[in-house]
Amino acid sequence: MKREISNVLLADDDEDDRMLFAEAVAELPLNLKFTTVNDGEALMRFLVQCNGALPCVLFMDLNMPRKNGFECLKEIKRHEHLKQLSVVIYSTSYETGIVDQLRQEGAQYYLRKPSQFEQLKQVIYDTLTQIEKSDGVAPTSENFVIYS
Amino acid sequence: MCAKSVNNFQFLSGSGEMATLTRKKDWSGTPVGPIETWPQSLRTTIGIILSSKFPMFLWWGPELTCFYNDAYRPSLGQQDKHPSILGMPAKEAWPEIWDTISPLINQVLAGGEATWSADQLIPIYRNGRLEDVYWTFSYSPVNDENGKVAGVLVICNETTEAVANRRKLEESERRFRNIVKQAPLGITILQGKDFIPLMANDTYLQLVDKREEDFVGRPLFQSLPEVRDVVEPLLNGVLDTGTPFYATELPVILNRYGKKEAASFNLVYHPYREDGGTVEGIIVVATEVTESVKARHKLTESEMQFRSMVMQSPIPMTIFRGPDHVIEMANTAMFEKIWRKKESEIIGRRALDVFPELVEQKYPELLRKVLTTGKAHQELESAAIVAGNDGVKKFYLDFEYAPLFESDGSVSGIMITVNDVTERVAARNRIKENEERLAVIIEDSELGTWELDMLTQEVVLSERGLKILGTDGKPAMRSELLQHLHPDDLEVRAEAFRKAMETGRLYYESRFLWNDGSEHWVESKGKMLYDNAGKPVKMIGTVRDVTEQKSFARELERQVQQRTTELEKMNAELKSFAYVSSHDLQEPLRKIQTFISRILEREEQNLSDSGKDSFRRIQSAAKRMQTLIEDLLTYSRTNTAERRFETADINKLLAQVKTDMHEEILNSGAVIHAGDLLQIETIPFQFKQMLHNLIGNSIKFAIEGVTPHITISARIALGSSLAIPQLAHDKKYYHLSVKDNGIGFDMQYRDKIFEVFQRLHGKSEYKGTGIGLAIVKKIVENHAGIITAAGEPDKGATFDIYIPI
Repeated sequence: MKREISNVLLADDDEDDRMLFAEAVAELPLNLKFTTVNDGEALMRFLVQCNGALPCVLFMDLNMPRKNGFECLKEIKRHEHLKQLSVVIYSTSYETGIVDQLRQEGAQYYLRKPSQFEQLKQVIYDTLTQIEKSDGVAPTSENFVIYS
Repeated sequence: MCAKSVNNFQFLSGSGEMATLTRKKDWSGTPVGPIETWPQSLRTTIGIILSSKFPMFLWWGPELTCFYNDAYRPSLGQQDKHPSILGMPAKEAWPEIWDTISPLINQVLAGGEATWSADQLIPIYRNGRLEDVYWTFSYSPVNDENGKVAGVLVICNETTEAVANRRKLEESERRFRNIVKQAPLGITILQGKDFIPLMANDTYLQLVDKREEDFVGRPLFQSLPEVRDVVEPLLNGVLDTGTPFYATELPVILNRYGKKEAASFNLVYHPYREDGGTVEGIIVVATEVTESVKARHKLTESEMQFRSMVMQSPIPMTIFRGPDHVIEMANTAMFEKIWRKKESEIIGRRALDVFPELVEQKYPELLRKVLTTGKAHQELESAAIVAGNDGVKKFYLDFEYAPLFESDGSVSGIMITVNDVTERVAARNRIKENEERLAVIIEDSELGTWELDMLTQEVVLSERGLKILGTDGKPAMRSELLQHLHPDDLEVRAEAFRKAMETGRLYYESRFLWNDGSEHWVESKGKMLYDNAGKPVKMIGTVRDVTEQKSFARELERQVQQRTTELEKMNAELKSFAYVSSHDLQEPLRKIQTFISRILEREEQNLSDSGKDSFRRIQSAAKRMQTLIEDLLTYSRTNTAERRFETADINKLLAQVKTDMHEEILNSGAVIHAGDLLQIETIPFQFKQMLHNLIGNSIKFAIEGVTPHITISARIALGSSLAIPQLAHDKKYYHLSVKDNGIGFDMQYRDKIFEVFQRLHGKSEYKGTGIGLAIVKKIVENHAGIITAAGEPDKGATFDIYIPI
């Protein structure tokens, strides 16, 4: 059973990245509801308030003030209702050890922020496509990293 | 009238004392009446008495009136009988012996025979003392004119000398008999052809085990038939020839003490002549020598045993004879162990001739002393130098010189017994040397030593030990020592001793407070000694003042702590640098790149060609910077990252690398030839990084217009077969080789290419950060391996990696 992705959330404290991500999403041939939050705490507040109307995918930066991506991932995966959420890590850095750790803690994909806008559009698209295909099944470790 | 009348009596005319007394006495009041009335028989008798030199006495008339002469007078002794008894009746004069003499007197008076008493002892006073005098005397009757017995005359004869002579004779005979009887020699006298013993002394009787009454008076061979065969011809020979026969150690079989036994005698058969005439018999003198003969036999036997014992003894022995110490005999042990010479070189020769080296040593003097004094000499561990055929050797010997005595008590030789204790002495010297060496070491090492008796808890410390514990070097009791121990360290010490009871080893460090108030760290070590039952009896050990080391160690510890803190701080800083570079540096760079890509996309039509070119150059520079940051990050991670080894299939790792590098490979048209790359223990992500960098390097430095060919091969080889000096010969190595057909390099740069930021080419010619090969080298080193590079300009390069497995 395929899953239609209609609702995407981005948690990133960087205004430029939020803007670029929004532009990329807007340019993709998809009908998506796109929401952003500016830090970890805001993210958790938002998710708790969703009350059943969770987004389909969360793109989450790791390096955020107040509550970083690692903490948020832990909380989400421990939370009764939130743990279903597909979490895609969206970060500037790429470090094998950290990537493995995130996968073990329940992240679905790892996406390194590309340095070309066209690439950004491409990887967002690829990621969403993968998630629709995967139907909630966790990817293998080789497929975990979509772009590095 | 009196004088006139006296002169008238001729029979009293003598001048002796008694004649005078008798003449002058007034006899009128006595029973015999005045002299004029005396009968002729009385007068005659008195005349005889007074003129006789024999002692005489007369009792006269019925009253037995007493008369006596001068010769008799001494017999009356000192008693006041003389002269009072003259004219006194016998009964009054001799009351004390009256009962004895009256029967004799009466017997004579009654007409009986005269009495005779021979050799009677009657002591008399003469020559100024009381003498034992022997008398032979008789009481004889004196008749009157009518032939009737009127008196008793006593005539005495002194026989003292005769008695004495007879006594002497008897005594000497008795003594002789006794001597013969008691002589330690057996003596018997045999008479006649039948050899009848006239006598036999006790010794003889004992020798033949006979009683005197059975033996004496019976023919000899009736008593001793068993000796007839041996003895009879000998005895007959003496009888016939009259010459004495002497025999020494004559063996005879005797039946005695209830059994037949062999006995040996020294014998003399001496002819016995009566009054110097014919041989009447034989005097036999016999001494039994059975025991000494036996003893001598035994002696001979034991001497032989002794000789054989000496010869067979494992202890070296020899016998020297005479003042020149002629070597009479020596056993094998002596020849082989001590002398190391042949028997033929030695026996019968003088010791000092054979062993001239002895002359210079103390031994000749000792030998001489034993010979002269007859006293044995022993010595222990005496050094001796003996030149054997195999050279001069120094011995330590326990030895004894024992004098050998002749039967006359003179010393004729010396028996020498030797025990070679050279080894023992040498061993002890070694021990002593070691002890001394140890003492020096202990002294130099500034160790104090101690001994603790586990039973009495007594502790004995060396002087230095006492000093170390702060007792001013004065001996102290254990309790006193403990007072010097820092109170905070009592528990440490107690625990160390508890442990020592289990393990047998003591070790602890504690502080001791000296009398001057200073505090000293002391390291105590000990070892428990046990008895046969495994019970701890003693502990020995050392103490050492480690105050300086301790303060040095503490200073070191403090410094290490400080450095560690600094390092941790630096590490944290490094981590944060890595983070900064990975994140904070990359982020703005990425944004620059992203926004430029945006501009180039969106605003392409609005830009001039030169503007576009500038943006592309910015993009290229940014890309370079990104690569640089990433490489630097990788290099620093290669240094610090956790090294987790796991078995990995290198073929798979290569496949992953090829996937990762898909684009680069595709773009360059590179062809990778790989054999079986095997499986090894490795840090997989680092190995991948290494392959990535090497392949990347080959692609980067490909010759323009030539298809890059990269050949990767692997094998396992022994270090000795690899001709690389740094490799251990006996170890196995995983050898990975990556070869390309690129631009190669000059061999002079073969080490330089692995250094960070070392580039052989201009940036514009070949892209690269100059970090890739440094990372490769680092990874190889993380695997404890080595990497070598070989190349030639335009002929390609080969990288060889050797990782121990």
